[in-house]
Order: sequence, then C-alpha cells, then structure tokens
Amino acid sequence: MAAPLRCAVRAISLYKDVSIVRSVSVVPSVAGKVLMTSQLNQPTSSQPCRHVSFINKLTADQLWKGVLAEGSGALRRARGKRTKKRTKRDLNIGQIIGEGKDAYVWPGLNAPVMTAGVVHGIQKKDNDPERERKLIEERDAWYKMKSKRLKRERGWTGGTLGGTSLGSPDPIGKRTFEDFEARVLEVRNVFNMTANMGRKRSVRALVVVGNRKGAAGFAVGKAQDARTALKKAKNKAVNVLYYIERYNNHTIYHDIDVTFQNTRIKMRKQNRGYGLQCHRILQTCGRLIGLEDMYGRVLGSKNPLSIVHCFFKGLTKEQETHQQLADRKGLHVVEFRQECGMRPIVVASPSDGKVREEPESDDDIPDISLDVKDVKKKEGLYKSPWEGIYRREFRF
Amino acid sequence: MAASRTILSGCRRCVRSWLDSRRCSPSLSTRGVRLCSSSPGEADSDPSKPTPPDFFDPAVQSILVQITGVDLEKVFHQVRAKVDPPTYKLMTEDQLKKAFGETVQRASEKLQMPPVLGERVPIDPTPIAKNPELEGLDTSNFVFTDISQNIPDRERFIVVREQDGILRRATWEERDRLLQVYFPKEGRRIRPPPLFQEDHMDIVLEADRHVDLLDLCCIQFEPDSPDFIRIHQRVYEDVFHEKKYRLLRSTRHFGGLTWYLTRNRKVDDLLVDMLQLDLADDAVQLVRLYCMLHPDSQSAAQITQNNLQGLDIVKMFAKCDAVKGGVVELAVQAYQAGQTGTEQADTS
Repeated sequence: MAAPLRCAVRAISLYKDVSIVRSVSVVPSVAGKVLMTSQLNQPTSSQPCRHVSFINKLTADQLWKGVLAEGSGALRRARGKRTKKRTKRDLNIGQIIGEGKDAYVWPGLNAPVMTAGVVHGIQKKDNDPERERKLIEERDAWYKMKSKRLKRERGWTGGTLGGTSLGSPDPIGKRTFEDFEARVLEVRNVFNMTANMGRKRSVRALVVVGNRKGAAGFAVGKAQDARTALKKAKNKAVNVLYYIERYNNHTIYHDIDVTFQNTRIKMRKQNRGYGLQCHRILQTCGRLIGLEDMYGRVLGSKNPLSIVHCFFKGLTKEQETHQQLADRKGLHVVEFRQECGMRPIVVASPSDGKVREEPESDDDIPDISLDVKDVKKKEGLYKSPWEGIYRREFRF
Repeated sequence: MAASRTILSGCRRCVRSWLDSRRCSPSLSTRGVRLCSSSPGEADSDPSKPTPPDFFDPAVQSILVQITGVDLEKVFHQVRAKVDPPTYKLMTEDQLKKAFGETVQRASEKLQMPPVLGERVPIDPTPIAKNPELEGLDTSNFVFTDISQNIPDRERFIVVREQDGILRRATWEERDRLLQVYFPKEGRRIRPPPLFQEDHMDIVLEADRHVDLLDLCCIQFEPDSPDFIRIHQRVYEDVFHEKKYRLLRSTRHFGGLTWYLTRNRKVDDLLVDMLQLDLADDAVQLVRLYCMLHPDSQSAAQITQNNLQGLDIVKMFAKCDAVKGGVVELAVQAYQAGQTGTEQADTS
C-alpha cells in the first residue's frame, strides 16, 4: 500500500505540468528526493514510515556509476572487466505516473476525479500480469530505434567521407548554385598548440565543386566539427571557380604533364568511351568539371590537396586549346582520326586568317619528353591492369 | 570439254578469248561473263543501228563517277573500331591542300563500283561419265575439287559423283560453297545469312541501312550470281520508291543505282532530287547517259539534232521521254528561279 502512494506524490512534485510521465517505484530514478505520504485523505491502517535505503537516497546516475565501468579509471578496476559490457539504461521509459506493480486507481492522477456527479475514491484495480514484460519490450524498442544509424551515401569507401556528395552550395544573395554539386575529397583532424588549451583539435575539409560543364573550383574549410568544416569549404569553393576548356565536351585538348610542389600528374587525351582512368581524386574532380575520357597518373606526393592543386594547374595553365595553338603558330591545326579513315579534319585555323607560308619543321626526333610507360604502351609491351574496367557513376 | 572450261572461266584473259571465239553470235556475248571493259561496238554486227554501251564503257563510267560525287565525310565516315587517340599536325595552306588531294585520291579508290553483270550461264548438267556400278555406294554425294594454288577460282575443276553413280560438273552454287571451304574469303559464309531473305530485307531497308546490305551482299555473292542481282535490284527499287537517293549518294553503289534506273527509264525522281540539291551538272550528265542507253529515244534524237547544251537537255528530256514530265519541268524552273535569285542577291 505504501509503495504506490510514495511513488505518485514524488512524481507530481517533479513533473507538475505533464500528465503522463515516467516514474518508477522500486528501481532508482532520476529523482532523488522522497516525500512523506501523510497528507492523503485515505485512512490508513498502518503507521506511516520512511523506508530508507541507498536505493532511494541516491540518484539514478549515482547508482549506475556504481554498477558500470565508466571512464578510464574504472575500466582498469575489477567491476568493469566483463566480456559483455553493460550499458546505462533509462528505466523510466514506458512507465506511466500512477500505474504501478500494485494496480490502483488514483482519481486526478490516472483517472478522472468524478464522472456523472459521483466523486471517485482510491480503488484497487486488477493486476496486469503482462505489465513487466510490456515495460521491457517498450524499453528495448526505444533503445533499438535509437541505435539505428542514419543511412548515408557511400563515397569511395564505406568508412570515410571522401567522394560523398554535399549537394549544391548555398546561394549568395539571389545567385543560386543549383547546377553545381560539391563532393568531399578529404576530411582530417589538424591540431594547433595554444597557450591556454594546449593541443587544440580542429577538422579540415577539402571540397571540390563543379557544374559538369567546365566550371569548377576547390577550397579548404576548417572548423571545430566536420559538418561545419565541410559547409565552410563548400561555400568557399564556389567563390574560387575556374573555367576549364574541354575538347568536344569530353576530354582534354592534348597530353599534359604538370608538376606542383612534389606532385607530378601525367594526363593523356583519350577517345570517347575510354572513361576516367586515374586517381580517385582526379576522377571526382574530372566528373565535376565535365571530363569523361582521360588517362591520368599521379607520381610523387599523393597529398590530396597537392593533387587537386596540381590537376587544376595543369588544366588551366598548361592546357592550350587548338585555337590558341593555331593563333600562336599561325598554321592550321589538322586532326587525323583512325576511325575516320585518317582524313584531314581542320579543327582550328588562325583567327586573323593569315596562315604562315613556311611549314613547321618536322625533325626526326620530336621535341617531347618521353615516358617509359608511354613508349611501352605504344609498342604493346605494357597494358594497364585497370584498362577497360567499368566504373559506376556513384563512385565518382 | 574445252568449251565448257571456258564457260567456267571468269578472268579477263579467258573471257576475252571466249568472246573472240564466239564473235559470230553476239546474242551470247551480251549474256556472257564480262569483267573487263572493252571498246564499244566490239560485238557490233550491224553498224547502221547504234547499240547502247555497256556498264564498263569509259564514257559511261566517267558519267557515273561524276554523278556519284566524293563527299569525304561520307566516304570516310566514322566507324566503330578500337583505335588510338587522334593525332594532330600543324599545316600550311599548301600542305593542307596536298593532304586533301591525297584523301580524295584514296576516296576515289574506295568508291570503285562493283561490276554490273548479266546473270551467269548455268553450267552444262550433262554427265561426264555414268557408272551404274557405283550406285548406292554412299548416302551422300562426293565432290572432287582441284585445290592447286595457281588456278583462278573460276577455272577450277570441280566435279560431283552422284549417289546413282553419275559424274557431273558442279553447279555454280556448289562451286561457291566449296570454294569458300577450301579458299575462305573474309566475311563470306558458306551458307548465305538469313538477312538476304525477302521479309528480313524489308526490316533492314526500313532502318535505312541500304549501304550495309549492299556491302554485305558484295562480300557474300559473286557479282554475276542471281542472288547478287536480285538483292541489288530489290534495294534499288526500294530507293526508287522511297526516294532515298541521299543514302547511296557518294557511295560505291550510286553508279549501279543510276545504271539500273536509267536502263529501266525511272530517272525522273532522281533528276528532281538532283535539281533540288543544286546539282544541275549531274542532272545534265544523267540525261546524257539516258540518251546513250536509249539511242532510239525521242529526246536522244532531238538533242543531237538541235545540239542542245546545259539545262535545255533536261527540258527536252522532260518534254519528250519523262514519265513525270511536268514534275521535272517544274523542278528545272524552280532551280532556275533559285539561281537568278541568288545572282541578284550577290549583285545587290
């Protein structure tokens, strides 16, 4: 008789403005204080008394702390050393104020005070034998739901954020960037030593944005957490856009060898249908730029920031369109394609219309730096093991 | 034996010798196998009546080549192949002109027309020997082929021993099959693919793949075989009815198409098509070809009599011999109006 009474009054004192609250009679709860139950109208046969134990003197957190091994100190001690780790659970889940092990009707608490002009008194209800089981079920369902992780897009690998999409950058004023897409290239922790806090951790994110039509840019964002860093980087990258020329909207104009710091990238022009066969960072950047067919090889340092920098340097500064070449040389640029029977196709002529009279000297030894792999490929001695592998769109 | 051997033969040397031996009977010579171009009127017995020239006549050939035209983009159209990335060259005007000249030369080689021949004379089915004692020796025929390397395929000696003991010469169809077994040609099958059946050809022609069909036909069949002639005529008829002349223009089959249409007096639509595409010279040449092939026609006589030049020839043709004279005349007028319009625009 005394236990449910105590429970009810305590609950009211804590949750004044809630009709249904979680409460518990025997097990420890969040509430620590216990009130006396002498102010009730119901005549009691037994003397009011205070059941005092550590169980109702301590808070739930304090009790749990005694049972679990939390923190590095407790882990080393005996009680946390179990194969199956116990976890802290809120035992108030599923409990309704006024309902308890001994089923009672409390008018004004779990029943109306009066119906049809008749004031109800405190009554005993029938015990529900399923009550315990239902409580456990409800608690388990709550924790199961909580432990379920949000499904996120898979990037290059399952574990890291690299390669995942961030959507389009935020609008600047009225200018929206709906046709742009941002992709994560790298997220990593960086540390700074400060005078007060010592080793201070922040997250650095490298993001590339592009509209797949030649406009693209990249930026680094730094913040206390990854989400903010990514957002910063994404919105910074649209402010630093490059326009990259593409040949027939699918590949680069010519073979490019470019160096930035200790990173060297070898890019080779390819036919339609070849695909992007290069480092995953180059694939992602290439997709967002709008390149479809290219061979690329990263030599030297594989630092992601260096690779992106080097790639953009090569495409913007080292690349020359056919028109620029024709203007520079004052000659026609003529294309010969095997699939078109090697018929001459004039792809660019000098824009001022003045074609030079003397032809370009064709020495026996061409003035290009040879690459061993390229020569071997031409002679059929080497074939890339990645050649002809089908890559699905989402990997980029 | 010697005569039948020469019937089998198809090379220039043998055809010429065979023609010489048969000079007395011109009716046979026109039906015979002719792969070489000979001077016109070689087998002409009656000099007073002009005979039409054959397909290999130089005058005819020059007209057909001119009408075909060389569209480099069409001749060297993009094909599906595993190729290296393109190469680039920096060229002056002279070098570019030279490169284009070389390409046109290569294109004209690619545009060499498949020969238009009469149907081949069936091989004499009379038995060489009859051996009734061999009857029932086996359940199938035996074919004996001379597979010496230095004999032309058409002169090869191939005989069949029938189940009833008769030894005879192999028919043309048997010869084609067996030669493909011993001396396989790339792309040719022993049995023709079902693509060449009538109802299957309709599907191909609906998809505008006339050129592919004709190319495959040239690979599969000999140019004087009945199938070759049948398929070509079927495609030409489809082109004529659907007016899809653009499909065959600037391909090696346009000459054959023009030859067929001119022989069968079906050139009206082609003339209109040429005039609509501003190819007036081609139209004039086509009418000239018509006059060559039909020397007894009214327009031929009128043109030689009045010594007409230029579009007047086409007008005369529309007046005298055209099936759709009004349409052709309208097309000529439209062309002339367009020409004067552009001239005025140029001067102003």
